[in-house]
Amino acid sequence: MEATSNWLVPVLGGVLALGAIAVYSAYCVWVRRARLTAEQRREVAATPMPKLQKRALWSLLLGLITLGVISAILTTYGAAEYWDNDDLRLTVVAIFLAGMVTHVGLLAAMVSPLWSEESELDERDRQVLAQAPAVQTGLVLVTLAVWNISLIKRFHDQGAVPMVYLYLIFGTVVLVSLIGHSAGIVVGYWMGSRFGES
Amino acid sequence: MAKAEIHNSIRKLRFEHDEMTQQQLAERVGCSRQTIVLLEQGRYAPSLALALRVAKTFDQTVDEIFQLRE
Repeated sequence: MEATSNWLVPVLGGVLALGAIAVYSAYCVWVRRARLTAEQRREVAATPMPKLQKRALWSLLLGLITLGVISAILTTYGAAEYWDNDDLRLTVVAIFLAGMVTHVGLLAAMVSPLWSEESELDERDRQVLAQAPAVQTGLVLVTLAVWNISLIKRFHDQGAVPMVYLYLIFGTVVLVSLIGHSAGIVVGYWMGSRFGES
Repeated sequence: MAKAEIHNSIRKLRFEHDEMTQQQLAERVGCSRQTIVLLEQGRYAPSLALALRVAKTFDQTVDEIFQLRE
C-alpha cells in the first residue's frame, strides 16, 4: 500500500498542478482580455466558418464517436476478452483505423504541406493551428495520468499490469491526441469569436 | 507594457471603392471573410504581408490605413 502511495502522490500532484495552471490561464484570459461587444460578436457569427473550423468540428465529432464506440465495446466485453477474441480485436482495430483515416482526410490533408502545396489556410488559420497543440498536449497528459492512476490502483496487489493495457494505452493516447488537435482548433476559433486576436 | 490597439480605416475604404464587400476584399488579399471582419473591428493585428496587401488593394500606404493607439 505504501508503494502505491509513493506513486500516487506525485502523479495526483502533477495532475492537480496541470489542472490549476489550465484553470488559472482560462481565468486570466477571461478577466484580462477585452471581449468583443455583442454587436461585434453578431457580425463574426454571421460570417461563414473558415474551412479549417468546419473540418475541425467534424473531425472532433467523429473522433468523439470513435472513442465512445471503442470505450463502449471494451467496457462491455472487458480487456481480457479483447485480448483473447480475435474477431473483437479486429473490430476494435478497424474502428480505430477508420477514425484515424477520417482525421487524416478531414484535417491532416488540409494542413500538411505534403498534400496541399497551395495552402487553403490564411494567416489567422495558421495562428489557430499553432496554438492547438496546447489543448492537445494537455488532454494527452491527462489521459496518461488517468491510465497511470487507474492501473496502479487496479493491479497493485498483483504487482504487474497485463500486456493488453499497453495496446489500450497506445490506442487511447493516439485517439485523444487526434481529438485534442481538433478540439484545440475549435477552441482557438471560439476564442477568436469572443476576444478577437489583437 | 500596455497593449497597443491597431485601428484602421478598412471599412471606410471599402465603401469608397465601389462598396467593395468583405468577401471581395478577402479574396483579393487572400484571407477568410472572418479575418476581414475581425480586422475591421480592430480585434485582429494583421501580419505585415497582409497589411501590405490591403494597402496595395486600396492604393495607399500601410500607415495611411493602420494607426497604432497606445
